Amino acid sequence: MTLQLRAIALYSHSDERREVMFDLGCLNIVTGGPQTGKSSLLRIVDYCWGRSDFVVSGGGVIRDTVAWFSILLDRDGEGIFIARPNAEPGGRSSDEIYFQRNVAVLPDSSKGFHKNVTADGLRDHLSILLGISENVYEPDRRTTQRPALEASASQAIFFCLQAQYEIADPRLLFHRQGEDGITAAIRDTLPYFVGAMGDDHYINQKRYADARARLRDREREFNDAQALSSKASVTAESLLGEAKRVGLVPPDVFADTPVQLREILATAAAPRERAYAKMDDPAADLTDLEDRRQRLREELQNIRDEIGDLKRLEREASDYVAEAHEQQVRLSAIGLVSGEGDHPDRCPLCESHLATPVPSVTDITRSLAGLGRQLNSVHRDNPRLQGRIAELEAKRTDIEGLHRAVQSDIAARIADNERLRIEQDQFTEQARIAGRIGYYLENVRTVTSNDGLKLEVARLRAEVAALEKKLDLDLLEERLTTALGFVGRDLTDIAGTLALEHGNNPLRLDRRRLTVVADTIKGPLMLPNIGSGANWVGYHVAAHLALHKLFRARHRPVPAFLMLDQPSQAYYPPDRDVGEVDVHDEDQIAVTRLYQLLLDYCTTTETPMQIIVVDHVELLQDWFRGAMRQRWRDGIKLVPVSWLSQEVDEE
Amino acid sequence: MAEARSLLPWHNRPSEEAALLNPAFCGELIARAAQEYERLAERPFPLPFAFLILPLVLHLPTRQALPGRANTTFATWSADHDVLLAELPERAMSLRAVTREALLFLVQHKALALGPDGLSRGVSPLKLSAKLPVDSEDVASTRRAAGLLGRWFANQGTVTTILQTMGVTP
Amino acid sequence: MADGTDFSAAGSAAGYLYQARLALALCLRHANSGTPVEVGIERLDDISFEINGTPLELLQTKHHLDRAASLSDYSVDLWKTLRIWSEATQVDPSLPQRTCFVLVTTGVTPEGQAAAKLRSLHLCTRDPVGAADTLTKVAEGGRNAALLPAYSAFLALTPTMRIALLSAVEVLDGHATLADLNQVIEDGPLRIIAPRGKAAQARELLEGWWWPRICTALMEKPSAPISILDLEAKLDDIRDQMKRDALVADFEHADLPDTHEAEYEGRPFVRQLKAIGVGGNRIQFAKRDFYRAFAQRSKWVREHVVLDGEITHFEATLIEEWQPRFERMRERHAGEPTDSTTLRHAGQDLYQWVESDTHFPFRAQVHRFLNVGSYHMLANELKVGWHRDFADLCKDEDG
Repeated sequence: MTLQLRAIALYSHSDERREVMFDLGCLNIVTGGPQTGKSSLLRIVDYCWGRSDFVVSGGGVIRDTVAWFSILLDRDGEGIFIARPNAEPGGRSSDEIYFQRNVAVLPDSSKGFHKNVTADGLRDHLSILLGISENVYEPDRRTTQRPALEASASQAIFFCLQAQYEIADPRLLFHRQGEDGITAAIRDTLPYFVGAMGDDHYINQKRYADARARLRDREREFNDAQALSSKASVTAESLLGEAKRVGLVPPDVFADTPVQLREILATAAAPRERAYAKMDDPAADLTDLEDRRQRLREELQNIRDEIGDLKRLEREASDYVAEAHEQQVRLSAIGLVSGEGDHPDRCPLCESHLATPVPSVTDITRSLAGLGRQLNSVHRDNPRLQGRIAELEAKRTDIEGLHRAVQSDIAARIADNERLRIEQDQFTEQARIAGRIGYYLENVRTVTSNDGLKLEVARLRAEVAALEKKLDLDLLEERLTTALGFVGRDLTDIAGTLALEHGNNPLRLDRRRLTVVADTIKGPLMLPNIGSGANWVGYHVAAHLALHKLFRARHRPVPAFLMLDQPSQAYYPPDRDVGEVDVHDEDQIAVTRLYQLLLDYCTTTETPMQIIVVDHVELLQDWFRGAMRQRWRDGIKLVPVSWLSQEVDEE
Repeated sequence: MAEARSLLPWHNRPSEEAALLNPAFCGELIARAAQEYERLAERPFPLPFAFLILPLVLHLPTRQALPGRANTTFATWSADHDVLLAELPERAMSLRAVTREALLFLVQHKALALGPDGLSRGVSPLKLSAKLPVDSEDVASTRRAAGLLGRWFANQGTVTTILQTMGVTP
Repeated sequence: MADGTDFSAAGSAAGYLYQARLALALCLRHANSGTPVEVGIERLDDISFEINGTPLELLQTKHHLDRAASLSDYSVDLWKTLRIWSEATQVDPSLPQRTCFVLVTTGVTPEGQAAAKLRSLHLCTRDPVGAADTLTKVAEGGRNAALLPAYSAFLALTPTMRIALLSAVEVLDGHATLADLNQVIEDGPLRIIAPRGKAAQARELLEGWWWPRICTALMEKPSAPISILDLEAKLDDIRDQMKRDALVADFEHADLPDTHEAEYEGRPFVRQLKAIGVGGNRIQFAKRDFYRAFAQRSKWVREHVVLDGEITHFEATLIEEWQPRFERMRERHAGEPTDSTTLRHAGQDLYQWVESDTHFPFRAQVHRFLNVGSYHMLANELKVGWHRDFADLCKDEDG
């Protein structure tokens, strides 16, 4: 299948369209003066192909007027439309991509464009369109941190574009070569694109790397285990000593042979019952007891307080009783009087009226009786008071008993815990030694019984060998040599046609350095050493044409178009508008030869190839004019002048 | 004679003052002194002496300082207890109303009779030898002291001398 | 959207509350331990216990509203915590030797994860070396951009120091949530100082003091530590308060006449108290005051024999002070039936005044017992009273 360009189109903010149409399977030329937007065409293709770290620059005109960039691809007759909005105000590329298959003609309006695919999605779509088979491989995360590499449309496009600054640069043979990671990507995917490897090569390569990593791990473990068993006797003896020390083995046991030693160790490592009853959280138990002690202490304090209060009351009551008794005794002197006196309010001496009557016997008797009742109340109170005190003292005695009991429980529990802790420590120590013995025995068993780890190592070795064979790197190398042999042959032919320096020497594509090498009698010469801008442009063109010839012949999944930006720049500096040129000049002849070659290449290759050239020269020959699609002179530019005035009008 | 405080009616008195200084008890003490005096001196108990009884026997330190025997010379004793005697006039003044009430009580009940020479046994004397249902050491010693005072006063010189010694003017 | 926002706000608010409450719960552990510990919030860590500024324990608290959050090897909670502690250890390498780093989280740790090897409960499963190994691997391979600073802080420590740090780390997972802390706080010393069933009330009193205390501490820059002694003093306070409250509750119950006592009690001053529904311990106190005042006054008169009118004057003062108060009450409650609750309460108010507000001097000295006891002596003679109809209600037996 072939993928070529039918058109490049711009949509303005006011939804007007500006397009450049191309013919399939032939040379397409767009010529124009300086500052007409020629180089933007290649950038638009790059951008619409999904390049992420990129914006179509081209000055304020494009930035201000264009809303959408788009390309219309042709895949064996099916129209594939891709549109991407102009850069966001911040200058960042937009991640909105509109992708549509089965498009007959360029859409008139950008109204229907919307994000329906991500950059990753677009790459997958294009890969499928190109016929790149699924070759994603998820690497084992334990062994590699590198993301999976896959050959995709993103790499395929590197072989189809030559920007103005690339085509004459001796150090950059391919598009974007020299950028971070791109050089490696081109180098790694080249064998795939030239058809030197099968589609499953990547998967197998990853599996191979993964298996080798696992093998390394297991081999290391295996070696460790082996080292362990070679020191066996020493280790085993020292383990036996440890086992005796912690009481796993009686101290009088000795081994005469290694087998016997191993048997003794096996009994030592055997699981055993705990020597004591399991404790159910002694610490928590202790806390309970301590809580209880605290509560009892508190209760005891309350009772003591109350007893204290009651005793104070008792003492105060008895003070009262003593005083009241004195009063009682004095009042009872009334008992010495016989009979009631008369006229208490009259003075018995002078018969005058007394301001304060003399207290009568009745008065005093009544007071005496009142005091008696008070004292009786107190006396009646007293037994209750005593009873309460006795009751509380009994309670106090009880609680003191409980408190003592808890106290001794706590002491006992602390002692218990200490004993249990020691036992537990001993048990832990035993378990630790038993574990070490078990581990040792396990390793000895693994190594000696020739299975387990050893088997796994063997299996992994087999797996690695199998994958190695499947990958058949020798065969790959051979195939690559063959493929590149074809490329070298065609490269030499084309160089000859273009009369390039060293064009008479065998030429080849160096896949590691990604450059063209001329094998001369004096030795290999690399492109930067060949010299002259005209040669560099020529070798760029020749290398790409030679590669595409192979791609086409082998039906490789690389787009069947090649875009060249100003190949004539070595003869005519781009800042000079040469316009129509005559045929007599040396440079003129060379330029004509280049275009003639491109024209012929498209028509003679078995499978159709599309070449799009953007240049500032304009040859007078009919075939050249026949290939010209647009001529950007006399005010005609990529962005129509009317768009600019609209912009002004709108403002 | 300075103006003494008068007593409140029985029911309005603070209870301890009423009980502890009730006229029956205070009267009894005076009666005891009077009776002993009359018995030994064979003449009525001079009225001014009645006002000395309570201050001397009710105040504990004073009571304790009283001589054990009635033949102790007044001059000797008073020289030894000048500090106590210094307080006596004021105490006598504050107890004047109590003494007066006690005397009225006794006269009303005809336990004592008041003549021109002083107090003498009435027609219905207190039953001083009667056994009372309650007793206390404090009260017993007070009673003994009252009796002693009567005998002591009877043994000593003139009323005026005694009153002068005690710092009390009739 | 609104729900999501509310949720996250609730979560972080709960986190702050949790931190402050947890600090209280943990403080209670140290109460009455005899160590002059100070607690800090947002001081050296989320929560810190220190003595004279030297940290004993540094705690990070992670509260989650649900129990789902787990402390796995890749957990954000775990790594953010490790970052803080790693950085602190980097600055002061002696920290792991003398400080305990505690991570308290309501989340749970799956078995086998590094954090599970740092739990304190099962000492034999503790494995700081293994945890250091695991966490080092996680940090070295970590891709979570948010945790990169945490990874590098941890890796900046030497391998030995990582083990040292982790050996001082204690993970308390599955810890009580914000709401569960109620129980934790109540189960501490409060259980002892509060009467049965009153622990929640005691906790409210304690928290009522704690929150403003925390706020004050946080307002200072840097946040001020709170002394454990403050807390202990507050606990004593609460103990007293709860005891007094219990006494008041006893009075309320004394509304019902204590028939047991009534059989024995003929004294008017006691009947006066019962008439207004005062009983129990308060009657006991009244009796004591009565006994003391009676004995004191009687002894004075008997031994000193100074009849200077002091007692009369004192009693007159007491009566004069009582009179207008009693009259006011009588006027206010003129229409009430004798047995009304209102009258009892009014009487209680009057008696309350006697108990707490009478400070009249007697012989140039003020004795509470002499004031209250003398009132009881007057009440005993029905010269004063508390109930509007005390004269009728409390007549002496033969009166």
